[in-house]
Amino acid sequence: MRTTATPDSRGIERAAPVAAARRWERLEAAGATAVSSQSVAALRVALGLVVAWSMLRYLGRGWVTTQLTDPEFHVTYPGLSWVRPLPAPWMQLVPIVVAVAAVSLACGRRQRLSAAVALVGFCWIELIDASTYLNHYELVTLLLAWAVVLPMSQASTVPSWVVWTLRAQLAVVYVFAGLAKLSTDWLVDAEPLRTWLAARTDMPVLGPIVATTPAAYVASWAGAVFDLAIVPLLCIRRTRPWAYGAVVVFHLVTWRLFPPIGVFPIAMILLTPIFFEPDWPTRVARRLRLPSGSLREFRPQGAGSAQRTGRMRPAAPVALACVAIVQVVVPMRHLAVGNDVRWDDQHYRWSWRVMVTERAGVATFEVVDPATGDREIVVPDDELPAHQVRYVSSRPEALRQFAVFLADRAERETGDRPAVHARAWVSVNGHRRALIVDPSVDLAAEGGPPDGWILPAPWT
Amino acid sequence: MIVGALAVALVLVGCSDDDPDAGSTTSAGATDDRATVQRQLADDVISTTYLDAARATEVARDEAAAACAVPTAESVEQARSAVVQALGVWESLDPIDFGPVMTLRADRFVSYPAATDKIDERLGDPPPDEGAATTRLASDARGLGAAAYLLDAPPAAFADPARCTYLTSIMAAAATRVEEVRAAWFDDPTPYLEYTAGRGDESMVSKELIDTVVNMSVDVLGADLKALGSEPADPEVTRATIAAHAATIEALWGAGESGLSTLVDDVLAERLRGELDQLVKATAESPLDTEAVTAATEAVRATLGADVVGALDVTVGFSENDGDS
Repeated sequence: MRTTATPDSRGIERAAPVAAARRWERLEAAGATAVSSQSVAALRVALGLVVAWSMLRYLGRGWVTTQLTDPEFHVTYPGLSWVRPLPAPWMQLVPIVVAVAAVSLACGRRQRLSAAVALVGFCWIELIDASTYLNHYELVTLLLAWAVVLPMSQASTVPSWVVWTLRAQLAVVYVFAGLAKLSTDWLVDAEPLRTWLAARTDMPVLGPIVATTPAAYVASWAGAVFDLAIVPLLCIRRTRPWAYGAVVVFHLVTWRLFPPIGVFPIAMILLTPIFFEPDWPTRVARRLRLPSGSLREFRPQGAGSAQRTGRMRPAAPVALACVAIVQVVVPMRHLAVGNDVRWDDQHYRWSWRVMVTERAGVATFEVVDPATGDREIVVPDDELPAHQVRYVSSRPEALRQFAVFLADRAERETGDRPAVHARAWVSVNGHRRALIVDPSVDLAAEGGPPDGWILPAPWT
Repeated sequence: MIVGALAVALVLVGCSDDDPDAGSTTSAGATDDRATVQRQLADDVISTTYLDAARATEVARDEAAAACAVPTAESVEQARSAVVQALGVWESLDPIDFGPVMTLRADRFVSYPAATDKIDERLGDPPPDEGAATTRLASDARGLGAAAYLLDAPPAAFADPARCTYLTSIMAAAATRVEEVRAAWFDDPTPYLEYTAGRGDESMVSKELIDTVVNMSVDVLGADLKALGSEPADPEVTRATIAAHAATIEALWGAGESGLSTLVDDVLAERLRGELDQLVKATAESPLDTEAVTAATEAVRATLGADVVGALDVTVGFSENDGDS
């Protein structure tokens, strides 16, 4: 049946795209508004310094050797097993190059090139072994990628969408970290904070307090509220100073309570000021009555110092939208699969599940010669460095990869490929231990998705 | 907001149960001062084991000398039994294998696995004294294992003075080394005892001793599983070793009012205690039921390595607390 539109409905049909177009124009105009580039430059300086510091720690602690070049086995990322370290002495150069590039980035020298070099080197180090994955490394990687594509040191002003893009990047971390805390483990059992805080009785003065169960509940709930509320509070002008104060206190407290957390708290304290007004460095300098020369680090570098704002290239909004969708979808991909991330660790990475899981496990591998039936027990402690033992022992995919490694090695030595079975007991967030993979399955023969051989969580 | 959170927290504290399957294995006991537990472990378990090892080795040395003086079936058997017992006590240091035991590398003189062919060969030219045993013999031709092998002979074999020369030399060397370890633990200017007990620099108290003994216990049980999985050279040595490890871990875990068990909830404390009992019983069975010992060893290791490591927040390495230190 053919229908005829009434004049009113035709008007509405025409008005809708017009209104949408106007909204887009307004949004585009707002995004194109020139704002001071100082806050972006401050973030660039902070990012460069954090990366440089991180690399110096990496070198100073000997991690190039212990984590990258010494281990015979590496847990690899899907499709990235080709990412390997350079031979021992040469691999030491990579963090040095990254650190130099990061300092160059901090100084605003050849921003995009410096960021690109730092990004490639950082990713290289990061992608060699999945057992060293950390959420804040992912954040650093993304920010370095933004530093490659965004104008962060060329002009005294930037389009405001640049500032908002960087704010959104930091917001993603807090929001998803907060959403990950909306779980029974975190809110009802106060785990893993209860366990972690209970280990801090040695802290002067506060030790006996933070180690109590009520303190664990307060910390858990306050942590979830903080993560979920901090972005809106940072976006509202009136609450911003208090919110930033909370950021500083929160991260300093976590740094003090959990020394192994490393550079993450400092990174967040230094990066979060991006939420302040774009010219916050000048305002702070004025408030502190610093000489005007003290802000020269934030002055534009190079020839293109004229204001260059205006309409975005047509592809830019599309690209930004794609990136936004990816950054929202990827952390939530486990919902589509329906797995329990905290148990099987599938889809854990790139989902900002910051400090929500305490997992511990032990494993033994049984290597069975198919020809003779001879069996050998392999204990990861004998084969792997300490940082890999716990990772491999408690994560199904890592168990599978290590089983394949053992089978490959035996095949090279004897010519026969053995079956490899694992008995891996895992405890997550204080739940009673359980076997995480089927001990009857030859893990070395399993290649694809973990259908069938990952056992269900003990609480299901 | 904080007041609200506190209120909710208090309600939840009241509502939460202690069923480990439903929630945490960390108990109210977790508020116990870990430094206190560390001091108690250092005083009651580690120091005691050092003293026991020194005493047992001295007794074994004296028994070996007595057997050489009057070699009868009884005296030789008594000496061998004392040597095996001393070896067992020494093995019980494995789960606490740090400090002087490790730094003085005393295993080379005390418990290195014996190579019987080498010992037979050296009987033709035995070390005349302790110094020679220390400098001229390989690790697998001396120590308590070698002494046990030399004592595994009929009394008539002791008519050959070479056997007793060899035996007394290596027993003297072993006793001296064990005594050195004991002295280092108690008397050394580097105060291991002070350090591990947290009486020294407070910043060193932290979780180090707890982390160390739990990690080492998991490690030695892994080694035991490995030994059980292969054809054991001497099943009795395997049995004695596992029994010694179980005894130390049992002592570290504590019987109720002391030890690591006071830092976790009662359910987990009792469960591991039960599993340790099973292990001790399994190692005492004769003949040795390898499958039962393996199952019991795995149970203890799994609970220690998964539940206890999790409950005590034992630090293992990189990415603890999602960090990179």
